[in-house]
Amino acid sequence: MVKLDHISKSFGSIQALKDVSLTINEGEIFVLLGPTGAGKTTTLKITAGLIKPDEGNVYIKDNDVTDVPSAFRNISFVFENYNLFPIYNVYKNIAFALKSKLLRVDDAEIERRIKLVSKDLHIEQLLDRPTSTLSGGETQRIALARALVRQAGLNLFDEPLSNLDLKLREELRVEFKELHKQYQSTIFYVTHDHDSAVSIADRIGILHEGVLHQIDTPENLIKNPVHINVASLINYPAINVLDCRLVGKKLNADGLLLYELTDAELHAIEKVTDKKDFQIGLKPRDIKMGKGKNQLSFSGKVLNIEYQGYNKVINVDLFGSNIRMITNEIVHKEYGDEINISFSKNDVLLFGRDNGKRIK
Amino acid sequence: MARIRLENLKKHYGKVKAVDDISLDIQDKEFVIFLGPSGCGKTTTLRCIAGLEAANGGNIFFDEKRVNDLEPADRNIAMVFQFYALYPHLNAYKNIIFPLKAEKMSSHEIKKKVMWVAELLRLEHTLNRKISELPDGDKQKVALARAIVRNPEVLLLDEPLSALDEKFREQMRIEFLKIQKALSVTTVYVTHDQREAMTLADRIIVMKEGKIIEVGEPEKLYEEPKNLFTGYFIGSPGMNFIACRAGEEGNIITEGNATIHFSKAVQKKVKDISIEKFIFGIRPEYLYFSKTIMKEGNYLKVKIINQETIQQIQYGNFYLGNNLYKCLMQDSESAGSVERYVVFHDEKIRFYDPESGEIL
Repeated sequence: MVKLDHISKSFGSIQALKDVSLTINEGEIFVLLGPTGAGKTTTLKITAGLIKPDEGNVYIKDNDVTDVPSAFRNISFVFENYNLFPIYNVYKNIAFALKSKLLRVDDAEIERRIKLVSKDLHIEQLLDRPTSTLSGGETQRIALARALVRQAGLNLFDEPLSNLDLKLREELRVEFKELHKQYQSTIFYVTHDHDSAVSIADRIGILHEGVLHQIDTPENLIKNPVHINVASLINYPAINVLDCRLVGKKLNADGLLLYELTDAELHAIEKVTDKKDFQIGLKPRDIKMGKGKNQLSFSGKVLNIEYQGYNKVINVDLFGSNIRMITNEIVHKEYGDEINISFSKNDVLLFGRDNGKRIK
Repeated sequence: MARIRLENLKKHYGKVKAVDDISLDIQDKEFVIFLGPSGCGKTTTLRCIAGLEAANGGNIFFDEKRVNDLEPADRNIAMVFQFYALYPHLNAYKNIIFPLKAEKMSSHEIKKKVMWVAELLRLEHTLNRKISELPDGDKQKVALARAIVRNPEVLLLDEPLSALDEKFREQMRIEFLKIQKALSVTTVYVTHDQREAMTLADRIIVMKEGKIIEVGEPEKLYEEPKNLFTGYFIGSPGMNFIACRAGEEGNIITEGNATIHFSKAVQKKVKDISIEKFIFGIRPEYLYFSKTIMKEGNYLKVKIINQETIQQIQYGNFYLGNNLYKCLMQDSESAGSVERYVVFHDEKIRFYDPESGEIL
């Protein structure tokens, strides 16, 4: 449906996108996830035709549209700030998208479509209201309705939920998914919000400082990150990162001996790199309380316990490093108490210190 | 020493009752968090405590002293906002000492103070750098350092984390707790993010439409919300609230005419409910699949229509009538559209009055 082929873009001396390639399949929800300044919005604007890439090509439905103006690309676009007309009522705002001379939709058809979409989005009672009187959640729905009535094959969303309260965001995520099922359009969605990405995406692309590190399903990204930035962005709570060094056969992290590698493991590492400095990534959910069987066990001190309902996040001071773990067991510990934690060798992810690339 | 007492506090903007007659005791050294959706009056309350807004009615006491008529500068408070309000062209050191300038301290004393606060917040490396060069997380730390360098009796924080990326937010949460312990300062914090509130607060004050809905410790509010709104707003996802009426033998009939079967003990409780229509509340985390059911136990039959990952926990969605509800799914389970039994424990069941929203 969409193909970005070796796209690069600079603004002055800042390289916003560095050789980004991705393909979005027909009918899927594709999410680009990255921190502020990663280049997400730039990627979306290039897809929309609002910015021209310095290098590379944009394809929509196998047609090279790199030089095709935005209006002719048959796409809809929802921005972070919704760009509604405050003086018009809701109906006119939604209809506006269809009044374009390019689309040639007649009034009866406009009315039919708006009726349908307002039912789906539960905004029928709002159609006569000026948009300036709406709440955040309502405004969001109107912007969504305006995108949907166009029945464009491709919908682009730039942080459409980020201005909303967390609670509202959660609710709209569910609605969003249900709507997508009904309308079956292709969705390209960019956000810095991990929760939104994981809960709505069919596939996620991880963008960091203009580099697209990896594209995969949320589950696979969590299981198999190829880069430390992927592991950092896709895990909640954030993955533990420790600097470590290979001394002989032993992995040392901040003076804490992690474990001795087998010859096979050592060879595997040596095949990839001759460097000795690494970063260890350890997911909070892979760490357990107590001394497990066949596990690496350590003793630390409780820094704090973040009560999050079903789960608790325990911050453990382990030889001066702060290690996070997550549990749904009952925890009878307080600040300063000793705590045993353990994890399996297999769950230790190893990344290069210099380039962040996954080694093991 | 600062105990804060709000007594029938009111603040109106024209016809809008932003703060509608609230009363609250905040203990010395306590960390309380006002939590609620936008427009609930939480920030206005904070601004009244700070003296940035004049109350229309009621009293504010710091210890035994009425402070309504004191200027903000005379209240011995410090405040941190969502946007840091730092001087971008000055370095961190100069920003931090700003509030000390009025206090006639020797430069030696000032330096000692700054070093103390910089060490506490691990800001030593930033002191000579311009604010504009610092990452967002460090900027907010500098703002916090500036707030606490004067040893205020009361620390007021207005959504201090909401402009930060997730990664910084996690770090800052830990910093807040550390500071609160080290300084023993009475802290009032405002947020719409229930996760922050659950993690940080000694007590949470849930607000809605200018009123206090409920006050309690995070765990208490999560496990046993006394009000529907609390159960909805706290926890991600929120609590399931299922409209129902009493059926045979003390079981209940839900929307869409499904029967939820209860244990003997719960049936007895249901029989004592005096209103015809009521609400059955249970957290999604406490509803889980079972292949077999016990005739004596609590269960209902559901059809899972899709699944959703929220904070790396898998939930299944199911319909009762026209409304969607959630239950827990273990990692290995897949949705399918087969009917499943969902079971739950007696002590997790709550009943509410739909009129008042209060627990029965």
